[in-house]
Amino acid sequence: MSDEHSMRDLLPGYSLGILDEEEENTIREHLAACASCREELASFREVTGRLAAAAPYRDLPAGLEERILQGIGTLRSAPGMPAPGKPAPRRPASRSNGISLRRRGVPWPALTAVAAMLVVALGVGNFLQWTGVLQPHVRGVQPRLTTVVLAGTADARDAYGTIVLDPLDNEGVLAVTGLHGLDPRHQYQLWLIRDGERRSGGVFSPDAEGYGSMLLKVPRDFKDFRSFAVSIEPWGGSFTQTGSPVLSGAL
Amino acid sequence: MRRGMRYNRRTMRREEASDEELIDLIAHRDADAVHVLYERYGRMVYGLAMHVIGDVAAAEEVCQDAFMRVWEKSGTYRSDRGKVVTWIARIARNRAIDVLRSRRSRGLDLPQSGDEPAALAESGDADPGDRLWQSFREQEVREAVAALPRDQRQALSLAFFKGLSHREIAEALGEPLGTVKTRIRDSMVKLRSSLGTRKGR
Repeated sequence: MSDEHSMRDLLPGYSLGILDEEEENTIREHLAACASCREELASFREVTGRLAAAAPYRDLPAGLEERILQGIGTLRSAPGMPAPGKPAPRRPASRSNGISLRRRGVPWPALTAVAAMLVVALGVGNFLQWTGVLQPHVRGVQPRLTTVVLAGTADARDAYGTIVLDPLDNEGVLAVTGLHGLDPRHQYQLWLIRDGERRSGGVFSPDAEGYGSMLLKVPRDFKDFRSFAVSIEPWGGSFTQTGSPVLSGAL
Repeated sequence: MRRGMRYNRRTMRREEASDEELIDLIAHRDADAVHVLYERYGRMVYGLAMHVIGDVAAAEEVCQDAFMRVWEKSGTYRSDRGKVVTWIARIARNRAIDVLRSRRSRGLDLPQSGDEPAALAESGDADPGDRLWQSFREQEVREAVAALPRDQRQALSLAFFKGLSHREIAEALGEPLGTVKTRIRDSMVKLRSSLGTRKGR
């Protein structure tokens, strides 16, 4: 039984982001059930925000805005792809049972932390840069994330990508680059593989620059799936993998 | 948030949009709205990051992260919880503290010798945190912080500017953990009152 007084004492620290992990877990659990603490937290958050908003302004460095816009999904180039400059052609939404990350237009659910990080990651420029620069950041902020690297097979040497999984939110994101375009009768399909079983993770189509992405629903037993593959399948996907893999990776 | 919004997303000029309307546009994946928001608040975000970290590359990273997060969380912003500017500022500070902590764990930005409160008290420099508050833009904020008892302000500065945990602050000041928690809480309660951010005031 939590001590109400001690819970309220954690709220200012929580609004400042200075609680340790144990305190954070405690207060988060409490907040889920206590509306008055949620309200009080909101008032402390306003204080923190108000203080922060009063800090001195500074002129912005050149090029920063472009990097930001690149990062948020108006990506023009993925690693190894041609330089930005030519606009991407408009495409109809690919009808996939995965949700593809699209450029601006039709409203769709906001990206989760996982997907957002990955979009930034690909905007950074290359995978090595991502692991060097953002991985510690990712681990520090979201230690529960699992990352799987996908490497292209002999059929698709230029392809590579990443799956980032957040089991607590039952979500993940797949992002792949260097994919060949497909004719309209085929799509790429993700497979989650464990002893003898291949479960579909969804289908997606690459864009004109060979970049494909998809939000994933992570099955509860995802930890049993040790390896992953992407294959070319008839449009809409197959019940089981029929094409040879173009990408594979393992936990 | 959506109730009472009477603008036409297609035809409205983004520059004329209110902050709330911009966030709504961003939730609908409008990149022009991001541009306008950046024009409005980019200098605030970058300035805060520089004030906290003092490193250009790190501050740029914070700026990128913060706008990413605004993009990502635009669908969850609710105007009854506070203004857009404070929401963005809080996101920016959270990111800045994250980056600062990450740098500390890599051996950067560690406190220099001579920064310790005892050494500073001897040298007559009351509190480095004081200097950081003095350049704040809003007089109301400057006055509210200056009005805090010194030990509360000192603990708050370590939390606000350096992201030190209660435990780390207690160690830095040589004070008991409970005392630090109380000072932080008391300072925030006081500021909440003097800045008038309690709901339904």
